[in-house]
This record gives sequence, C-alpha cells and structure tokens, in this order.
Amino acid sequence: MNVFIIGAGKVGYYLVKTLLPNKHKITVIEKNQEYCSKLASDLEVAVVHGDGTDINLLSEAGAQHADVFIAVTGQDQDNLIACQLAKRNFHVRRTIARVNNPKNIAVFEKLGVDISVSSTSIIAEMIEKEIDFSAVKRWQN
Amino acid sequence: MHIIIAGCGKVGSGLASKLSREGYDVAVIDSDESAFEKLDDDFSGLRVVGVPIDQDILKKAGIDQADALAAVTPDDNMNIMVSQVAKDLCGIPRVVARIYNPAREDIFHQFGLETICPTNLTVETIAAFLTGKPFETTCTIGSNTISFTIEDVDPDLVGSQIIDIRRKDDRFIFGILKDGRFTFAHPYTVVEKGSKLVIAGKVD
Repeated sequence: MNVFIIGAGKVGYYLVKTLLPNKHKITVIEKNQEYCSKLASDLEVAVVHGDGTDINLLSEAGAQHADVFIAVTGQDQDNLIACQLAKRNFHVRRTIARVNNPKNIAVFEKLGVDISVSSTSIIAEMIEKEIDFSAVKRWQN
Repeated sequence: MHIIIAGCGKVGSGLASKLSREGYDVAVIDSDESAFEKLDDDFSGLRVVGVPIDQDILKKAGIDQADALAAVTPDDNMNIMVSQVAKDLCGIPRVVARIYNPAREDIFHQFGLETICPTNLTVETIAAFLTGKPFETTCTIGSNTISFTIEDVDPDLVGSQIIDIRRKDDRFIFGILKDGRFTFAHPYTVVEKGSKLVIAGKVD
C-alpha cells in the first residue's frame, strides 16, 4: 500500500519503523529539519521536509496516489486540516488522525476524518476497565 | 448579539475593542493571558484564556448563544478548525476565518468557509498602487463574486446617455463617480466630463 505519514515525531518515527517490514511504500512529511534528517538516516523511507498541510507540497509529494493518509503531528488542527485536504483534494480513501485532546475525537469524525485515535482516551479507558476489574475481584474475595 | 473572537493579536484585539465599543456582546479567546493587555481599557466583554479549538473553552466563551465568530489567531489551521467547529458543529450563522496562505484560503473558500486572506488583499492593493491600475473591490452575492472597478470616461463618451453606451466586454456600468460622489447609473443619466464610471462584472 501507498502510505502517507504527516509528522515524524515519536509517534511518526515508530509508526514508520513498524510499518516498513510490511513492504508498504511510505512517504513522510515533516516540518522540522532535524527530525527529517534523523528519519532519513535511520530508515529506508522517502522523507519530505515541509508543511503537511500545504496543498502544493502534498501534490508534489504525490498525495493523490496515497491509499492511506495518516496525520500524527502534535497539533490537532494540523492533523485535521491535513486529513481534510487528503480527503477532499486528493481523494485518499482512508484518512487517520492522531487526536491530542480526546474531546476532538467526535469533532474530527464529524468533520470528515475516517479514523481518529487518541492515546489519552485509550489509556484512560484501560484504567477505567482495570478499576472495574479490580472491584469485581475484591467483591469475589 | 453575541460575538466570539478567537485570537487576541493586533486584529483580534482591535476587532473585539471596536465591537465592544459599538455595544455588541463580545468574548475574546487567547491562550496567552498577556494578549488581553492590547484590548481597550474600557473593553467590557469576556476574556477567556485557552486554546480556541478546545470545546470547553468555546463553551466558556458562550458558543451556545453566539451569533457570530471570527477566527483570527496567527495559525491558519487553527482558524480553519475553529470556523468549522463553529459553523458545522455549533450552527453559528456567521463565521469567518483569516487565512494567510492564499492556496489554502482558496481551497477552504471552495469548501464553503467564509474566508479572508490578508496576503491576497495586500498584494492586490500594493500592486494596484505601484502600477497605477485602478481600484477594484469585490463582494460575494449568493454563490457569485461581483467585482467593481473604476474607469476614466472615454472622451468620446462625454455627453452620451448610459443607455447608449455599448461595452465590448460583458461588464456593465453600475454607477458614476463625480468629485468623489457616487450616483447610480440610470439609463438616461448623461455622462459628464471629469466623471468616472463604476463598472460591475461577474467573476468566474
């Protein structure tokens, strides 16, 4: 699959590392020059230095050929706009966004992002489940 | 009328101060509390500290009762997101986003957002001044953009009535400017020497 990833911070970096062995064609766009250099020297991946919400840059990088478009920067607004551009302008089938503020999950889905992922809410849910589970255990004893 | 201003920079603080002076109920949002120092001393509106894309912050600013919102933070994407939340999710009837990047403004304008691009406005104004080309202004009516320009009167046309003037393009004479005063171009108005024509046309 042709995969586009916006943002090469910790999440982006490890996402590339995890996806690479599966023979995907991956293109990464990152604003920070240092992050770009690190990614390019560590992993066999196409890295584009620039703003992943810039239409001209996305077009030059070939976003119109992407099957999946994943935005994982630390800024919710950038992730939303990148995915909206991918969807509306480049007709990418699947868009996935990282959500930093869990309240934005519903917002993202209403505004056209296919899948929004918040690590905060996943962890919070796990903790809630853990609390329920330990309450059950205590009751059983 | 309750108006929310997202971003309290030079434009946001100016806008909030002006609207508050004119008697509107204003709430201004900025993530930096010291930004509110730019507001007028007698600003009577609400100051909300926080990120405007946070729904709790928007609620604090009164998004549930708001009639209008302007997104004027320095971050284009933030402005686009706030505007979409206000318009599509909260149903605010009047929403405008400032977008510096012309390409991005173009796209989101096409997607139905009311946008203003200071970059384009500045470029057009300065270019018109430098080249001596006449003033042009546009306004949006329905889904069309109407452009108004001002032309000097062709000496041959002095003394003719508007109804007799045939134009080579598909624009038409909307009004007449004489000594800085505007009058509508009625069919039998006579074009005088020294007046200018206000031309209107549909932009594709």
